[in-house]
Amino acid sequence: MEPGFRLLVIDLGASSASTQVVPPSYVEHYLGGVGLVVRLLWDYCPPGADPLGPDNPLVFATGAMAGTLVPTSSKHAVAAKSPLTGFVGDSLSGGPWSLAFRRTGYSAIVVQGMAPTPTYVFIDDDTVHFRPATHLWGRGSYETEQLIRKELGDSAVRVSSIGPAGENKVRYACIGNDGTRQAGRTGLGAVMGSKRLKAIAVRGTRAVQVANHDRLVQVSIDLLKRGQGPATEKYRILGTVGNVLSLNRLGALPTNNFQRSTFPGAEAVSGEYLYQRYFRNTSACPACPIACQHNYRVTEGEYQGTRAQLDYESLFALGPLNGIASLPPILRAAQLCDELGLDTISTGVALAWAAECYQRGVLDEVDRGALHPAFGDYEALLRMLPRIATRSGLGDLLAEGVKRASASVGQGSEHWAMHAKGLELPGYEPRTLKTLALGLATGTRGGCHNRSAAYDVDMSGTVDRFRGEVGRGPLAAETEDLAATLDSLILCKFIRRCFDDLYAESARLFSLTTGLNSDAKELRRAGQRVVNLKKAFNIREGWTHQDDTLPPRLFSDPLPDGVGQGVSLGREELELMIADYYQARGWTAQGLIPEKKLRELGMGDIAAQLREVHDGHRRHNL
Amino acid sequence: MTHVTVELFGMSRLLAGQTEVELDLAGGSSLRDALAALAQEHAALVGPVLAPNGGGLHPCYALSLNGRSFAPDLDATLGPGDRVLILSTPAGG
Ligand code: SF4
Repeated sequence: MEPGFRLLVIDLGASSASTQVVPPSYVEHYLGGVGLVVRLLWDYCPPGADPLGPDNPLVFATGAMAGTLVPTSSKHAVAAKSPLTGFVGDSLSGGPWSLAFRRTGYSAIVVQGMAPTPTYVFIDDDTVHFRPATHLWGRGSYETEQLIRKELGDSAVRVSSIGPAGENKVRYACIGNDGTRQAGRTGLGAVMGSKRLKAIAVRGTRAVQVANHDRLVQVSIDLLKRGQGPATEKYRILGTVGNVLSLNRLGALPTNNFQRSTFPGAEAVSGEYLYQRYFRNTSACPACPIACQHNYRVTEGEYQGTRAQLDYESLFALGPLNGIASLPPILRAAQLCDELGLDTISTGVALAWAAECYQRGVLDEVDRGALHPAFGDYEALLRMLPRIATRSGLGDLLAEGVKRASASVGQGSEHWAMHAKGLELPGYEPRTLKTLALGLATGTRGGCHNRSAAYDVDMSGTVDRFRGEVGRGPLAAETEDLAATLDSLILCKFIRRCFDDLYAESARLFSLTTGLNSDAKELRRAGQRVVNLKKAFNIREGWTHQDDTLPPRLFSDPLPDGVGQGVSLGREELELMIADYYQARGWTAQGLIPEKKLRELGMGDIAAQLREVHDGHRRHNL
Repeated sequence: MTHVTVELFGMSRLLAGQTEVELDLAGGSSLRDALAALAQEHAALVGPVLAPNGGGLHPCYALSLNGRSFAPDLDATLGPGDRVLILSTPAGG
């Protein structure tokens, strides 16, 4: 039986570490992963903390099943207050680091304070070492991993680190691990950089204890077999890059900074062509039968030697969104983003915003040493990437993210700053996917498809995706709850279609691992708790109803072509869906969480702490 | 005769080895008839993409009529010039 989740609390200012036990109620209520990191964030982040100051904790946690045979469970979540949004920032990654970390005997880390000089932390099972990282500062993530392994003399050491972007507090810097994996979104790499923490290296040698080993092995093997079947074939063979042509045909592929939703060069950057021309092999997170990670290599021409992994989001952002119709420079850009520690989605959206600024004559100063971004100009895009990571010239403005950059430039550029709550939008056109529009507007981490996945509703055949209407609220809430559950267990979303009854079967896996009684109903409630907790954090940090919105372009610019020609998003249409969503969640018309709702979910402690904030809102509104 | 075009995306395109399939169906044919005709021409699609025995698509794929509506009724009658899209359901990443 697992002796509870162990938490490592690190104080970088004092170079000290202490071990605590995660309260069992946290695991019962929030499962692990995203639920646990956000719960710990709630505890350790003082209200109003500066996201890039020493008070903002950086929290890591695996799920309960990490390190076991359960397929797709070798993942970890990271959270902090986001320097992009000022609200909850959470992101997932996976790979050998997650497994090695769990095998240290810990399940979560809270990193507090700020190191006086660049530092890396080495967690060697129970022992924590603080080591100088001045010699690593300025180096890319991949090189940092290699150097740390060499320094520690053990190729089995796994490293999670930041690149130059994180060091320079680029607000959308990511945290990379195992070469090509990233906790990509919401700028958690900038938080790590603000702490002068270059890396967390781990060596874990302990077996993970589970409550019912034999039964868990049986159930896992069954799921493993299903994971090798047709339900995951598209991830195994083509990967998510297969979305390019489908979305293009559906008028849902954001192109030229969301000026349109079809891309004339789509075939040239399609997943199908990528597969036929540049595919080398696939790799997988530990204990995963799917192996969705596709490795590509460019073997000739200007970008010969480029090796990169590419998923749909990176491809859309560095390709069609910037009008780029050639795969080799897109692969090169993805490789560079990984090395520099840049979130590809936010980077692509920032560059597309700048390209439109130049197109409209809003920005005219040319950055010395770099071509200015322009749609279709891949050389300029590639030259801008290191400048963003090092905050040089125009790169310094773009490193702030499009919300801040457009507020600083003004001249109407907010109109085409494509973000929600400060987080740059992912690769799905909200004007032709109206339930997704709702999910993006109300999402607690901002413009994110992974915590909402409301496009599933739009493509289900049960709704008119071109029209927002009452009824979408409960549907969007349901996809969000499901994502929160999977992200907290943690199970990869790509295995979700392998279950006959996802909630019941994953509750079983959770029970067999932890020994806690769980069932489908309880797991659903856990997902709801996680969503409510994230919302409560945002309310605590000053969220108001006005934050649940989308960029002006989507309301006023009808799409010029494709099956969505002439379609835009009505403000009233969105408001109608938002009201429906709040109602489905049991929130007030203003989107606040009634105390009763939190108590119903067993979150009385959160309710008590939120009460003061609610009172503040009421006083303010009198 | 009703002439319809089936557009293939993702895995279905790789398995069939072509981007589109032109079908000439009897007047009054349904989507189900179109899928059956497609299965006859491209046996490689049966199993991974097309459910056997005219049962529609594997749940991981989506069917769209002319790019606008999804999962339309398999018994709906097709009109001349209709385009049937076989798509992988999107997934983030
Ligand atoms: S499907 Fe991909 S991301 Fe998910 S666990 Fe497997 S390899 Fe990792």
